[in-house]
Amino acid sequence: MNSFLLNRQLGSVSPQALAQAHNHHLLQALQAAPGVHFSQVGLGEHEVIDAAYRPPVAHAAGVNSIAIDRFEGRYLLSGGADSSVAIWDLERAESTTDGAVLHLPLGHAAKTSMTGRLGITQVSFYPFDSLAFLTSGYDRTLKLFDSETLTASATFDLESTVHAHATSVVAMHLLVACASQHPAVRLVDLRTGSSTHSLAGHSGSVLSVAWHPKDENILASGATDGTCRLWDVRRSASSLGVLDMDDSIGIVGHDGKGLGSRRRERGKAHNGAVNGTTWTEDGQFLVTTGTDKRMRVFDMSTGANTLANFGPALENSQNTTLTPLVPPSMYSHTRTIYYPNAGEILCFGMQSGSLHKRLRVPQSTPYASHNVRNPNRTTSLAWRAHHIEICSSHADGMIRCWRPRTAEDVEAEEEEGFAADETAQTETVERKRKRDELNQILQDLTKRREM
Amino acid sequence: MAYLAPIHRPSSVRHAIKLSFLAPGSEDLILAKANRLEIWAPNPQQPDLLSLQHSKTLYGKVTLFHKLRPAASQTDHLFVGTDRYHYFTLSWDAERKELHTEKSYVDIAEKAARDSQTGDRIHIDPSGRFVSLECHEGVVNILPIAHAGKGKRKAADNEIGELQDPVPVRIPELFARSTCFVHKRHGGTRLANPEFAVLWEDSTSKVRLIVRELEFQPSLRPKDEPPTAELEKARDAQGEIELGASHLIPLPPPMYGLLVIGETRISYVDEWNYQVTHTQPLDSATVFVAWCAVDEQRYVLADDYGTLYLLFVQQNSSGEYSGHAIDALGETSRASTLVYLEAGRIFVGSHQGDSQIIQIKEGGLDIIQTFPNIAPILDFTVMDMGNRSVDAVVNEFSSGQARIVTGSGAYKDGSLRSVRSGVGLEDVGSIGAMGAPVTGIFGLRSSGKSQYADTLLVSLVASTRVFRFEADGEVEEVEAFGGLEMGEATLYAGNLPSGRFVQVTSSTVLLADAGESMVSGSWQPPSRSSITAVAAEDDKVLVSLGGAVLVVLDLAGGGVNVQAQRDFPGSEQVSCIALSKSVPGTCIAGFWQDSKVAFLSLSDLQPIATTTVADEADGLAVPRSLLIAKILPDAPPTLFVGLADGNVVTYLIESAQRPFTARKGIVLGTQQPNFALLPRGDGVLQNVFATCEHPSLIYGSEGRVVYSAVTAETAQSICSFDCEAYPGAIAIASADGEVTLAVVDEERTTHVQTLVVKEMVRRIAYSAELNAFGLGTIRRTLEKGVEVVSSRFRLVDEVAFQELHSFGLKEDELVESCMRCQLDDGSGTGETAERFVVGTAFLDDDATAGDASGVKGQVRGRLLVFEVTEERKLKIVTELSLRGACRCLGMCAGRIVAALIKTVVIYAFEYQTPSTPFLVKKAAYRTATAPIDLAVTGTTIAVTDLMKSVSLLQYTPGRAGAPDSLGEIARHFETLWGTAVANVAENTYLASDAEGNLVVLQHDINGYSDEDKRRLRPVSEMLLGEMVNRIRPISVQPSPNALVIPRAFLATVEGGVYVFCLIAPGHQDTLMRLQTLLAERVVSPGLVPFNKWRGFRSQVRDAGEEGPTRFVDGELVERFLDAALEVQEEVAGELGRSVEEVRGWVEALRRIH
Repeated sequence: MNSFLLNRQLGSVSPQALAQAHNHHLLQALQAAPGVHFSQVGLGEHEVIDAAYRPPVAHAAGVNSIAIDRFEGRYLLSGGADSSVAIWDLERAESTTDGAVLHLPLGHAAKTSMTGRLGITQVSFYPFDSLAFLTSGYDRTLKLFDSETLTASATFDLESTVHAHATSVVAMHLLVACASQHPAVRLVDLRTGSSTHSLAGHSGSVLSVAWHPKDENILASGATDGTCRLWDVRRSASSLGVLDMDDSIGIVGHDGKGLGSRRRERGKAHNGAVNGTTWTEDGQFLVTTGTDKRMRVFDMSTGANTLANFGPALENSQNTTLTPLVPPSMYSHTRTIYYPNAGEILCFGMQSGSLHKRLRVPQSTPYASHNVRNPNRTTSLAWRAHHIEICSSHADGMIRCWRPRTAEDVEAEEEEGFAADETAQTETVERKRKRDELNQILQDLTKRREM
Repeated sequence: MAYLAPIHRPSSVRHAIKLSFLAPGSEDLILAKANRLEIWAPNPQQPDLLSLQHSKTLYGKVTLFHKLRPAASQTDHLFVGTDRYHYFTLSWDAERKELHTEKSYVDIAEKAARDSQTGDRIHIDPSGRFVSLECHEGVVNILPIAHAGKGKRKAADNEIGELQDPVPVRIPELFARSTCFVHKRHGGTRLANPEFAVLWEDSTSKVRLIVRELEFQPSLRPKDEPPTAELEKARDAQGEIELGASHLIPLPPPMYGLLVIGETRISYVDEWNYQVTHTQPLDSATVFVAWCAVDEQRYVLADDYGTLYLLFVQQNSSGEYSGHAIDALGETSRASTLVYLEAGRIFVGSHQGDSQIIQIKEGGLDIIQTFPNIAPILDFTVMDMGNRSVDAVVNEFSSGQARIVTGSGAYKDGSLRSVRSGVGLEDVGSIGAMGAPVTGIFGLRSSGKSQYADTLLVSLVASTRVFRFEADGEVEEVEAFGGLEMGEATLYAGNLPSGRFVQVTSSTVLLADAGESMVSGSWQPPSRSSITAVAAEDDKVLVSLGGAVLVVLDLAGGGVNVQAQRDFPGSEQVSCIALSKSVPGTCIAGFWQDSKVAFLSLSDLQPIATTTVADEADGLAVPRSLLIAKILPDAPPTLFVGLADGNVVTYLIESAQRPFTARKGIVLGTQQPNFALLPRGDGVLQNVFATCEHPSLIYGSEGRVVYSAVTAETAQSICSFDCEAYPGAIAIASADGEVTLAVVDEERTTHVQTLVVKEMVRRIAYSAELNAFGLGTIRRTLEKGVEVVSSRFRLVDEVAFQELHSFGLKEDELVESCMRCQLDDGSGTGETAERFVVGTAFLDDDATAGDASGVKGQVRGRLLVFEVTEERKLKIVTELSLRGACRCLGMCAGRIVAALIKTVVIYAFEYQTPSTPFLVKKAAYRTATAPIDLAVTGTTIAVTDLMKSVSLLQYTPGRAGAPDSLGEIARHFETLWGTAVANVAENTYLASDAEGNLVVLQHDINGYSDEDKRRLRPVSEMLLGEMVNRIRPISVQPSPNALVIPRAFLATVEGGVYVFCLIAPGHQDTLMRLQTLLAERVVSPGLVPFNKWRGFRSQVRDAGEEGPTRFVDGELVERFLDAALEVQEEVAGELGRSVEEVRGWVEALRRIH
């Protein structure tokens, strides 16, 4: 770092090179930030969060989906399994005396559907600002909310469970693509308020949808029939074809938009339901996850499966959307990908498929409502724009933060700790905590080596 | 809100090219200095050397150059690529002396794609059909060149050689180190497809060479479908390529193939099988950075250590490649680009040192021309002449006057440079103190034949002294001189055209012969009246008797004859008078009443033309001094009227009947200015030296009258004294009676003095108390192929720049920061003493730093405190080991603030025993990523973070047992890769980032909610386009009606120095509107819009559509003066002001720097 800074001052390396190296360094150091809590209730009289006092979780019934605004990286949206939604300010928190922080919701709506049992499947911000957001849920609707009042300003009844929805951030149109139990991908036009048309082609429930990051008309979707289809919403025969996991060559004569697969109507992306699709930022690759416990990376300039093998560690058993996270390319030089596994987040190299890191959820006594099935489950991941930070939502009702913690951080804490340690007692506690943390780091490192 | 003006333009040369640009057949060298193009051409007198012809601003930093030659053009066109992923082509318009845009800018930015890590590249394939352009990782843009075709696709004649639209092609080689087109053999008539070689590093860090065939299909329907290009067919080179391979050199026919240049060897790759052969190891390993071809067989290579090599390629009898050899030529600056000129001369363009032209000679090289360069500026300090310290009050009138000492250049090219922009005033001799206030000073020629002045007449309050100068500069005071009156103050003395002297005192006008010491004529005013003002020109002398009577005396005949006389009534008393040969037969008089100035006929002293100089607003201004000077070529002479309130009003004298045209006013100070005429070197034009509290030189430049400050603050009177020993000198008498001779520049220029250090000056701390600089330097040498880096802290005298003492740091330890400060001297009395504090870091390996299991508690940096002993030696007082680098230092409430690897720590300097001081940690604060720079104001510390912009910390010293605390009070929530921060006004901070943006942040301490108070609000933003390394605040005393107030200096990596100003509240809207109006009208090369250039841009946010936010670019605003009159009128009309008024503002802004 020192020599990087010196060379940047000299103008002999570009500022981008330093940024890239630093981002890479931070991305490698990503780990659970144990001191960050999201809760409906503030600290009140309490000064620390410990065994004696644990504030309630973000959503008591479990968090199904989170989203962070892409403009400021400041607002986090969460949707619960009890159809509650909440919006949080990541830059504002109550802090405890021991340095932990507690985020309180800026707004919270306890129930957004008729019955609380009909949970939310996905939340997302309006594509052009963070003043509105969309939810889809088991109540068969897509709703548009005002971010300040948390009241639904529009409701679209799609007459079947909506598993996921997607808006394009580059498009001029305001089409929301909805993946629902119905085999057709439904497009809802927010401008007119009508459900414009359906994209028919799948032969099972659609579980995931994703717009192309650069071409406003290209859409990818995954369904329980194991296929991942590409669509061009302008065309009457809108399906461009499917992705075939057995094709590792692809089709020559491509144009880099994923249209190369248009000539293929046979083949499956997974040997199970496709419940996650996501594009890389440049539209070069499409990543899919399936209930066959596989993740596949397709090269979208040819439509070929890159055959990256992510090993046996992936868990994926529910027919709900489970989308992996690809950090923006400017942060990860060697593209990395994060997979929400039960009780952990797995970090892979996208091209090699090698497991870089296992980010374990810190073990904590479950204090969510005990009727949650499978409380370990990680339900969704969100990248915090302008930061090297991931937020994850969990079925146990927690929202967790993952932040870089480098060796310098550990030392800085010691430096800082110096000022705070007034009594020997806190010092020893501190030391123990640090030792534990170091052990944890060491463990992670040795694990990585073994792999 | 904010205003930025350049003081020193960027001087780093990263790109250069030789073209026939200005005229057919000419050989011009075009240099890119950040966002400026400089066109140099051979000097007609010395054809080996180059002279600057033109300098033009681009809206974008140049990242690549190439030559294009369309068939229809007589001259070469210049292809320019910028860091905004724009490219355009330019040619030269010889008539208008302007760049002509051939192809307006094309934007090839790809939002999601990443920058190419190894720099942008452009190549033309050997058959001249395609241009390849690489700006992003893994993307090659193919630009077809129109060529004569057949049928429908045939290009029109005037299009041949023009570039067509780019076709982006993806290649899987992301990290390409070098690329080139390969020369191909081809049989038959059909041209083979071009082949594109890529030297790249794969994901396992192995270096490989691949050659891809370019398949291009023109579109059948060009309007509907773009053409397609592919680089699919590829062949890997056979054989091993070393890890350090960095450059490809394609060899032309008949040799073919390419050379791979590496750190330890050079290999040949044939063009048939792409087999790596003929690998030859180098004598010692090095890192090559640039190359150029001398001819087909000889290539010149430059390495990172400044050595130049000649690579010779041997051919066999059939002209094919048979081997190569490399020899070192000699040492130059570290090259960033090489251009072969001709006849063995090579231009070495350098970023890290001075650029040079070298001549290759037998067994070595000669440096024949040097182009000064102060980039990269790692650190600088502001020194004003008067009171040399950072906190010095800088003259607001021209802040560019301040002297800046920079640490410039890298490693062996390192130097200290003293930069000051302004009219240089260099003392050449001193005559000594007169012992009494000097009222006037006059230069005389003692004989009519002499062309040099040799006698200096100094008028004191009650006497006159005369000094004779010999040709060798010897000075002697004479008791008597030509019968002149020595017992009285002299109002005027001068030579007549005949060579005789005239002296005017308050009681007499004397005419004396040069040769003999006798008075040949005299005239006394009537009794009870005395002469109060004199004006003389040729044989005429005009005297004013107490303002009530004007008398014209004619001295032509050898005696003194009254030519005309006129009494003025009490309501019309004369305040000042002037004569000039520019308006023969007239004189000018200023009057006490009504601010009146009149041209009077010399024959009867009756008015010819009269005007009132003062604005209606302040009718009290009295004209107190008058002068007519020929300032501008091709324009009438200018009349300067100095008013008693410090204003200067100028008029153009079209004729004696119409003398008051084109009125302009400017404030020079608060007291009346006096004018002295100085001849310019060309003998036709004149400069005017105005003495007042801000002495100024007034000269003509680019068709305008320019006022520029001169550092002669104490000057009382001045005269031209062109003596033999000191040609072109002026004599200056200061208020305290000191008379000196000096040489003054004719125009304002940027003066750069170089003091070669040969080590990189990374940090500068200046102690006014010790009259010394503390320098943190780094030295890098190559010993047996191994790079050795060492670092020292040096104490250097401020005047002679002589090293007084130095302190060597440990092995692998580098200086990171240093400062001077006052610390407890340990005497126990609480007295403080001047100390230097130095922060260091040990060279780290990023791999181990990132490894948490690395050795804990290891020393990775130190904090050292030095005292300077009586013998001016450095003595270490105390040291503290740190676990990381100490990046920055500051003083806050008597404590040392240190920016460590992740924290900001406050240390107290305490004596536990009387002789041994310790640094005791008092408080610490952890920043978001890593602190890079600090700015302390009171107890508030602004910290700029590596990637998370600025946060404000508040330091509270502990009281009554409570510990000290350091806590965040506000921050700016944005990703901004900070490089420097400074406090520029109360609660206002200027921050710069690595991507070249400037942001002004405001802390709203009176905010409504806590949330408001916690956030630093960006109030102004602009892209500077160069990374700022250091910001130093300055304080100025603004004049009440100043448009802008200088607040800080900035220095950049590219060698630019800028002054940052805040716009005075009343002018913000006007200046911003002026900028917007000009941005729409000023045409840039390549037609790049101003907003795209100056709009804030970072990896996460791009304000290229909106342009700069509340930030005015001085360079653009000043172009108002260059704009055509219609444009000026239009802009002024839109602003609702007169052209003159707007021009006045812009001229006032110009004077800032």
